[in-house]
Amino acid sequence: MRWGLALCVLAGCYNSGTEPIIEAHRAGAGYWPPNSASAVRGTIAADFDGMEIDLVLSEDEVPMVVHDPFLSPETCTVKDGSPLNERIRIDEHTAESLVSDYLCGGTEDEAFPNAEVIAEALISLDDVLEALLDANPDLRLHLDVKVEAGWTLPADRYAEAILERWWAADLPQSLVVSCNTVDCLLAFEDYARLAGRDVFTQRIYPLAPVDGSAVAVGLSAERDRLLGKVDYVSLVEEGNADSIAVNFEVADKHQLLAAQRAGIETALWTVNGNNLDAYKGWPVDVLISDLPPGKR
Amino acid sequence: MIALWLSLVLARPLAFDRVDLVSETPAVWLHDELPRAASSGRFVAVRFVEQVQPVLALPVDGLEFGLSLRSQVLRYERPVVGDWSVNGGLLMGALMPNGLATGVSWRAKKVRIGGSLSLVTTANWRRVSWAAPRVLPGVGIGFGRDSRPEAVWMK
Repeated sequence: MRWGLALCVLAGCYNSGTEPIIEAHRAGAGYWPPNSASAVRGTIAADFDGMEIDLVLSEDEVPMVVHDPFLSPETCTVKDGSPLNERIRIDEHTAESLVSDYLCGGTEDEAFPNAEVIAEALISLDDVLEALLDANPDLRLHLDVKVEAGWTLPADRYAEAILERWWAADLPQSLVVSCNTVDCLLAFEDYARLAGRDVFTQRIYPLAPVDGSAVAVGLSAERDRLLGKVDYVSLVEEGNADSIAVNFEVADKHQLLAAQRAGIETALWTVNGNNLDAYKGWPVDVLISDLPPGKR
Repeated sequence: MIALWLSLVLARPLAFDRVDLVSETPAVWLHDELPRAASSGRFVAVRFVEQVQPVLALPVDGLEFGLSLRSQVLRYERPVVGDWSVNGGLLMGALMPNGLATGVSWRAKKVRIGGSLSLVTTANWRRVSWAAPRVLPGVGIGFGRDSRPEAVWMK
């Protein structure tokens, strides 16, 4: 029995023995418009394990809950319902104008045809923090920070804008801040350290640039893996982070196991449907899903 | 590099031996990728191609070098009885040593079927660490020359 267990451990068929928690990706993009007020309310009401939302700073440095550094004509409209003629850069507009002048979420998402279609105004991190007053204290809030040169404000502005708001809110929930660049991670780590506090950070891998091709990103990641240039523990250590979240398709299971054994939290994104059960057997602590089970 | 060096030193040619369509070492594809084919067919197919392994017979009797995109193996194989052989080898990833393997194989005509036990780590050029080892049993199937080529001095 003991030899069998030892062999099993060495084969990597045993990780922590506990099931991973499941975070609602973009606050549950499979059920509601992504990163929307409805999605945040819905995730809190459904009592999911965690909620992941994306943040981009407005011109006046308010963290807006939106995935891309711009509002897209495909998913957003002017407030009166007329179409957008071009992309609306988040960093070129104030929070007030973004909220008052535009609506998003009013078009069906082909990837999630059963998701609710609701045209709503944008929300900010302040709105989310207020909503969390009614949330389960065990909910994990995951803020995915979108920083990209030429598209957004620099990382240090994000660190101040987000962390000061979080600390002022003094909520019981736990916080994870994720970035896909070392500079961004270090900006958050440094800001917290200077404030005499701690922040739990997560490295997102691989880096997907704005307007980048998902296939090209995947193949580049694969090429680097084959050349021995990718190491999950190194990716975390160079950003002084605590966790790594890897795209599930390009993930290397053995590297996830090595990271877990090095004391690093591991996560996979974005895992949906029947795949959730398949990946629960992987050495991961968190699964990020557009369709967390349990929504009534 | 090792194969080339040996060839130059011994002034013997390398010889194509076979292609392992399913490589018995390090068997990562069988354990990690195949079970998730339903969820990630594209990348599982890509990683299948990565593990296809052409094998070269080296100018030293019994020594062979397998080279796939995913891994490389320097293996020594000796016949023991009939068509059966035993082997042991050094595993590498991008030529960085990252494991060891041992196994048995059966070879007849153009087919070779192998079974192995691999001790694999995540050692790579980014971080040379042999922590988090895994022991993976594997099976492989290859097709190649009708008989294993012998070095000149064996005849």
